[in-house]
Amino acid sequence: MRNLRRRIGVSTDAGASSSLLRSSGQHRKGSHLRQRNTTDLHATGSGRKGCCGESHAEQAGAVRACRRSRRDHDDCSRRDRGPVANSSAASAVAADGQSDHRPGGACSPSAGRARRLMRTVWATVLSVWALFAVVAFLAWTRQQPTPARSPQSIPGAVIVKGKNGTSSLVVVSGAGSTTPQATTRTSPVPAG
Amino acid sequence: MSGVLASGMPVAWLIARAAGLVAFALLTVSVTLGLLVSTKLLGPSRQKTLFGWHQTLIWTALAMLVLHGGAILLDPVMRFGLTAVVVPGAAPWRPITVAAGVVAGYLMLTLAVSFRVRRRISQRRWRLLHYASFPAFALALGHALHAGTDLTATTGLVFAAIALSPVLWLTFARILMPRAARPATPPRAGQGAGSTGRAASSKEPARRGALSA
Repeated sequence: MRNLRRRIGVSTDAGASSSLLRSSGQHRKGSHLRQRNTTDLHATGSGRKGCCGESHAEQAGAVRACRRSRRDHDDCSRRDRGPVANSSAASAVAADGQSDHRPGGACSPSAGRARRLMRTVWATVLSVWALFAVVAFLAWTRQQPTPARSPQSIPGAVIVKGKNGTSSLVVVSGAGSTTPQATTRTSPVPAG
Repeated sequence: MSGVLASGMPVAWLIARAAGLVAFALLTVSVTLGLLVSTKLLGPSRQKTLFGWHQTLIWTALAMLVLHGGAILLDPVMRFGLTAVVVPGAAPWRPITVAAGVVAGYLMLTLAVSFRVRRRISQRRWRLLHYASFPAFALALGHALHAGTDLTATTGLVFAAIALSPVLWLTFARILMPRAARPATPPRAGQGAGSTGRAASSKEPARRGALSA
């Protein structure tokens, strides 16, 4: 389909150039495709006018294809089009004999589509990565902070006073206090 | 799908928040690029690239917006129905700020579609329609600050400052900068290699001034 479209676009391009070629006596039936390589009519206003104007006006399909082709060429930047003359159609012929709109070239419709596709792919990939990063950040910040250690689990020093009035420093380790604290157990009630 | 994993992590809620933040970031970048295209501060050679990214990023932001709404639909805590997500003001929770977000989403959709129909509507209408990007950005920022649970107090101020600074600066530059001082005229709809644009290049400053005026 793309090839068909390109071929139609090519034929309309060449149709636009036919009025020029007729005037110079070079126009031959079936020579559109050969002549197309030496013209750059899409870059000029006069080429556009001829594209949908005189020679192919009755052919509705050709006109549609011409519009489509023009739309595709809008993807090409002016910088990519190379030297362009504004008024003279004769000067539209590139000096090096090659068109900027050759298929597969830097300014062809397929190149424009490829650029758009790559742009979309890059935007999607970067957005998805940004989404993952934000989700990870939000999930990380959502985690509750580690609970503070209970006072029983912290090692400390206790001053113990003896019966005779002497005091001694006893270091209490917190290792054993990690076990759940049992409730206060009352002494068994003596029988009787 | 309940939106909550077995570990208790509210996945739908996290995705909804993240997608909303990313969508707003993409909208901000897209608006900034659009203003850069409009002011032509980076020169005429980058106009096409900037415009392409401007167009692509608004569609990416819309995709993130759809993800944002879909994740909110799946969140078991918020209990938003489809009506609450789609119809402005129908949300059971903070209806006004949620409505601001919904309207901003519709404006973004309109702007994104307007790129496609740019050749059918005239350039002037497209330009007028494009002014809707400013209320869209403002509504989205208001929605993020008031309905968003992540942007409170200092965080919200920092976020708003980061988002607003380039947009405000470029908007003022666009308003205050004289048109003749801009490097080139904008590409018009339906003018692929328009002779006007070519004539308005730096080679013909006198004619450029006449065209800009």
